[in-house]
Amino acid sequence: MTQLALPDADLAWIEGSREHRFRSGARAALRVCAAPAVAIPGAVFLLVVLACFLGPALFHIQSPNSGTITDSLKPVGAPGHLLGTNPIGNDELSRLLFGGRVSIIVGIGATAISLTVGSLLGMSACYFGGFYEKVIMRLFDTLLAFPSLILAMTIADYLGPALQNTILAISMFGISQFGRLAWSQTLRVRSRDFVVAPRADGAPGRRIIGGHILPNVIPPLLGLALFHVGTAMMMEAGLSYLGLGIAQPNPSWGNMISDGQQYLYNAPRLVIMPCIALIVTVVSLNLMADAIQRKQETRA
Amino acid sequence: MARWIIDRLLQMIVVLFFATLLGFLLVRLLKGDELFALLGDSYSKDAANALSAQLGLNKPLPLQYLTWLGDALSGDFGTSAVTQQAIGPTLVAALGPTVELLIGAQLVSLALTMVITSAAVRWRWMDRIVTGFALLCSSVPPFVVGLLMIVLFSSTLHALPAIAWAAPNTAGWGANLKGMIMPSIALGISVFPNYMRVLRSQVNEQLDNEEYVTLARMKGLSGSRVLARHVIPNSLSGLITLVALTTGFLISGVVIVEQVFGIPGVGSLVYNSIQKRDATMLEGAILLIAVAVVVFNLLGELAQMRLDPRVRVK
Repeated sequence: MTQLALPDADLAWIEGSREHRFRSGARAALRVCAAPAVAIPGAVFLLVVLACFLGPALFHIQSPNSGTITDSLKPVGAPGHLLGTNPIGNDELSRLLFGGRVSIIVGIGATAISLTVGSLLGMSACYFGGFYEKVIMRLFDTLLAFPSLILAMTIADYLGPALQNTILAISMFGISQFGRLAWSQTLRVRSRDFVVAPRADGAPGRRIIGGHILPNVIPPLLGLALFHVGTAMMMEAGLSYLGLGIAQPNPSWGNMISDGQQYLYNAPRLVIMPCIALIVTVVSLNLMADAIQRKQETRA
Repeated sequence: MARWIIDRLLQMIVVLFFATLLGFLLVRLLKGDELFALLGDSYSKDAANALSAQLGLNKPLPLQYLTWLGDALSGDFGTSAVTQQAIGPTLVAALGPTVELLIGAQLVSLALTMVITSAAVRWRWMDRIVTGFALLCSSVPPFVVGLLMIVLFSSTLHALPAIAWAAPNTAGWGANLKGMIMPSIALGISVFPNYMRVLRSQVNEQLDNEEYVTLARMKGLSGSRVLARHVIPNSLSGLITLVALTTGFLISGVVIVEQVFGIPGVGSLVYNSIQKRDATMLEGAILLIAVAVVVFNLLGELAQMRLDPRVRVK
């Protein structure tokens, strides 16, 4: 840009329009968020997040593993235990909140990794083309044809049950999805002026991808990402349910469900409560994502 | 057409090659542990070396892979070092319950799709409710649906068995089918939103754009007759492709549902072999699943070509 010899007035105009564009973009984003179809599920999700991360500190809720066996299986509403206790006497509410932290961290973390890796691979494959593109696209095909749950299970089992390993195992799922979307979106803009011109100007590939392609392909990618957070949370619940995700005694909604399964006949609430927590969170996320995607479509 | 199929088959082989390679490398991760699991307390350096020589684990990796691939191509999947069972027959035996579950799930989800989509298209005010319901269904993992159903139908109403699998030759088909009701619904509910989305958009497109709809209306056909006789049959091609794709994908997607209901299918086999470090069994299962995914993908595309002449022309 700076290589062009433009009069100051023109430079100021470019600068002004850039700022204007930024402001109108921010305003549009704000308008999308203010629509009730987005705001209501968004508020529910925010409430869940706040409850999980700030709740234990604000309301002096005991730690999820501090119970004693004498308090085993207290019913809902028992003094000191709002939602009762589990078979070994740990407070159920506290386990729900701390388990929610795990679910949310895994959902967002795994999605962030898939989004970053997938879209970088997809965009660069489409931009550079040639043999590199062929290899990457076949890689995506293979990942799609490969039973991804088995992939995640094996990785999780090999790495051992820990938070970061679960995130890694789940992030393998989304890579090809984000990659293919990024590829097709890049294909859409690849021959447009704003890509061809800097290319002719000799700008390096990574600058073009980062500065010119990325801003134009990011909205649908972010839309998919929002959906994917919910999917990743369901995946975490599944892996932890199988005993391959978060390990005891640390709570997660998935391993709470599998623990409670033995008590399905005496205390079904042990299964029902984490199920409801998971459903409410994922439904609110997906409703929000769906509404945002609708808005994107009507604007486009 | 013939060229297209040959082209597809070649692509299939490439994808299968990479999938088995990936599976093989992945399983290698488990193999060191396999020695531990096999030897147990009698583990010593010498015993481990002897065993790995016996199992062929001391050869270079590419050679191991090619040996395995060659054997598999000639129909010999080897013998599990953990359970001493032949892999091939074990896989076939596990396929039965899984196939039954998949058929049940597809029936449930197709029935739901047809009924709900027709309702949404026939009565416009239902549309919002129906899409909301679909979103709800796609936000709940199938094993959660399954567990909630067990709470309701098994432990509260005592109407259906919580352990779903009853072998048809010992317990009879009645007990077998009764057991499969809940797992089929649990899986079907999670699949149907995708079907509905595709069918709904195709039906709406036909209704808005196609002249035969206008003609049928002018003939005096009622709304539901136009839908049932003309529009839905014309919109099915996309759905059939999706059903084929989903079937391939579900063969491995049933792991957790099979665990919930104790069904001894492919999913349980995979889960158990990971737990027991049964690397050879896992390799066989991955090959089976990858072949199923690729074959069903091809079937889906072929079905679309047969049903929709527009695709064939391209």
